[in-house]
Amino acid sequence: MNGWIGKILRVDLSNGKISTEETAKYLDYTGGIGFGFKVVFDEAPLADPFSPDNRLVFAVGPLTGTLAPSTGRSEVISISPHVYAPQAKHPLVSRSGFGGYWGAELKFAGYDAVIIQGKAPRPVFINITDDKVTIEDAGFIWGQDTFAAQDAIKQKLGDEKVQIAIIGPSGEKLVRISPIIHRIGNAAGQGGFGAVMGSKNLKAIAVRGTGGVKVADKDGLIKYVKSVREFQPGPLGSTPLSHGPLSWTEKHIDPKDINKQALRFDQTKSCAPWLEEYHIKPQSCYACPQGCYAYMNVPGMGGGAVSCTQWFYSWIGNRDKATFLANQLANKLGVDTFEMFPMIQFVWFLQDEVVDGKSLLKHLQDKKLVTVELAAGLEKGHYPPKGDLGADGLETLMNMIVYRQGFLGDALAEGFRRAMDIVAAKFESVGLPAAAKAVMRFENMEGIMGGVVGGNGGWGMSAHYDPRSFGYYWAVNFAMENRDPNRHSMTNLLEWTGLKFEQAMPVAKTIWGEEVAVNGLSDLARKRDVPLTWNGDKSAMANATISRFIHLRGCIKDSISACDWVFPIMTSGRKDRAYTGDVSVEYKLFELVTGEKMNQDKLDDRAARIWNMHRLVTALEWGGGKPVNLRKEHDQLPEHFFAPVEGRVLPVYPEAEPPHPPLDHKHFEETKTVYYTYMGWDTETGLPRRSTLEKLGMKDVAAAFEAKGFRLPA
Amino acid sequence: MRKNLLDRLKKSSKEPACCDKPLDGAEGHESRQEGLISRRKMLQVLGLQVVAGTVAVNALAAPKNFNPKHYNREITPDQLPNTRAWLSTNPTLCVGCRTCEIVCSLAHDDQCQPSLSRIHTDYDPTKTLSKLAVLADVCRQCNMADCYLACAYDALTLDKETGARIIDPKKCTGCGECLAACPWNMIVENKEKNTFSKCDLCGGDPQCVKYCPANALAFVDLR
Repeated sequence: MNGWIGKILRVDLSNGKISTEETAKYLDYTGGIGFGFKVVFDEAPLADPFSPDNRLVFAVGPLTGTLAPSTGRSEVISISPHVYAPQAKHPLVSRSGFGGYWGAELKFAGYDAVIIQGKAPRPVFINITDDKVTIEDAGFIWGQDTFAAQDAIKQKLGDEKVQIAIIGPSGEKLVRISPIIHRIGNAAGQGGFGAVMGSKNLKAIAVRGTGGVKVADKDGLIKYVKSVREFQPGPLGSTPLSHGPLSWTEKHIDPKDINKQALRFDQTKSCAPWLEEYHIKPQSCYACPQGCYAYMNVPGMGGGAVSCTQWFYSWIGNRDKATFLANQLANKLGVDTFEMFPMIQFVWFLQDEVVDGKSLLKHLQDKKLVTVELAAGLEKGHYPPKGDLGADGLETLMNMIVYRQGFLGDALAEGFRRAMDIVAAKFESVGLPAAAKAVMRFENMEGIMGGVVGGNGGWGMSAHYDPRSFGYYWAVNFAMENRDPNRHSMTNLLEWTGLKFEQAMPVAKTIWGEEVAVNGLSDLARKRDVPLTWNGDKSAMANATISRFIHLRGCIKDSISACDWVFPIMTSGRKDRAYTGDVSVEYKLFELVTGEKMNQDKLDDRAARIWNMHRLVTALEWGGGKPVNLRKEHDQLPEHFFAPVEGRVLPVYPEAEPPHPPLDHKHFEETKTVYYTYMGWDTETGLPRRSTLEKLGMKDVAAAFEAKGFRLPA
Repeated sequence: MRKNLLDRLKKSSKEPACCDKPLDGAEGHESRQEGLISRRKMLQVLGLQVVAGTVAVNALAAPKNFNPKHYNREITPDQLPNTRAWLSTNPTLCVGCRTCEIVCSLAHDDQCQPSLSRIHTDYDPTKTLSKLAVLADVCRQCNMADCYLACAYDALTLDKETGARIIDPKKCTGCGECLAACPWNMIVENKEKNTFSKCDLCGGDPQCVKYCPANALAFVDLR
């Protein structure tokens, strides 16, 4: 086989059974999340996240391990303990992924995916060395942080080149915001999959492979990759024209030298200039010419890798070395850095919100729900002038979460949204209903940076990008996902590229045509107080088109499996190309690697299968197998996106622009209607039509769904 | 900060990446003290130490059929023409993407298979970066190439263009003496084919240099 290896590994931790299966039976779903959703659908769609039945799938795609650029991603799929959907009858399936070398190594070892089920009787790690797979005792690393434990495994196996996916103490303690960590900073952050590993008593999966990945057209691939390099922009934001506060560029590009262009994600410079002397160099994942990680070594804190939200403490206002400590603690102990935005603000909120002359935190302390010492630590972490927003407050909070210290730590370990309910219920039960009510006000908090990062985006998660800023296509994206809808497809056009709006619009027109670009994206350049324009059907169609594009491209990326920050390559740094990239790179790489004749429509169909599969699993989970109306019940946004800002909780620190004016329910619903039509889904219920599934070659899946659940619309 | 790193790297790296002097590890220093002509004899005497040294440095067992007597072909080391081109690496620029390994194995062995790559990435070989970094390590194309001198089957030849020491897969018998002789662990074993391979500088157009996205690899060409 070209691209795929052809084998999938299955490990049942309950009985220690290790087996392999043919990849062939999953090939219609390409790889990555496609394999993952199919396995969950087939085997245990209604499992509790922490039950032995729950499947934990690590899957890569046909491109992983090859020369195809930026394809070193490993996808993780499971039913998520992090996703918060109180209306759903069963917890929902979700996805996450990480970079680094693990995915490529898995293919060299001879597997396209690993399916883990069951629960080991005692802590173990899985050791994969080519076709030799063993389940080994992990007693010697249980309780250790991810860095120390990876070193210990490497030492035990006597091999520096073994690649490890591992959990910290948080995963062992079933902390719902616990990531899976690889090396010193690659993380499958959202979804709480670290806790799923913990629930299975699985500390780590170590992989070492000496095999290779075959490609169909070796010379063609080498040549094509070279041609892509000629126009590909550097890491997001490093075009020659970058400007503005979100840009980290040196304003020049050299396709041959990422050390000159990689400064967009050398955030050391923009987020933590006071740490620059400890910066070592940028670092890439497997086969990636982008180098978006900054490697740092800070005395007393050790070496670590930092990128994007791993600078969360700086983003939220810290100005000393604790910013790097925050990253180290998150990676070593295991905390989803993106969750830390609302988490820190929630802790501030507990101190700021006063009921009966006392802060909520003081009330907790008086009821002995948080110790005097821990409360004092949290107070130190308050933003100035009340606290110093330094290392002490941060360490107190992180340790409370990871080790579930006291009532409050135990609550926060459930994630900020569940913690609100738990704390409110506690206040209620100790006779403080006013305090309980006050806690719930946090639900309407705004994220930092004008609501872009850290707000409650639904599903109890901190969310990427504000639909009020971007438009209804992004609102639909929120509504369809089971998690933070983070896809960088659209930000690869304008936000992170450094192009000016006038330069990005012509590029957008080459991708979607004049009508969609104008009606869907013209609002991107507007001022903060201007609402989204609505041009009737034209706006609905444009927004639905872009939503569909985001979802299909997202499924393509997560299945072949390629980096979300890189693909689709919409823009270029080159003026002679009018800054236009090439959004056909994915299917061309797919064809060169696998040998399967490919075009965009065919690859979109492959993606549509995955997106429909995700939808079917969600429908089963939402209703527990009973008929559901996903449109009404699932495909919604938190109400605060539709309400005016006045009277809502806004963080006063760090300083932020106000969010854009609220969305309109009617426009949101109109966009959804068109979106369902484009996807071939029933506009009444939002469910995939049987005819759509049949057209995609999923007749057997439709039948299986109806056997497990209910009749689909025709 | 880059200067700091350079200083640290300088302190810790004992040899330059490319050398026009024979720096073959401990036995090389001794043999130079004894004079070049005696190299063959010295090596025969020190044969056991060579094996021991290889084991210690590379944690690799010497092949069963290793024979110090084969540690020469019918020439003296000074008769071996100097190499005229080689690769050099810059660890401060390397970003660890391992593209060099992928393109090397793809170009030579038709698969993306780092275990067959003739250029290697090591995890923080300098031990000064707290195990942070992945850095490329290359064949030195030594002037007094131990691999060349070790081969008893004339499978090691010189590239006409670059002078690179290359292995002719048709002549390679898989005896493994080149692997045992190389002080840099730069000989690659293909277990499937039972042959050995090494960096051939791609005939003067090294693919790893061409595809390195970080300018961390350079082709030093003195032709």
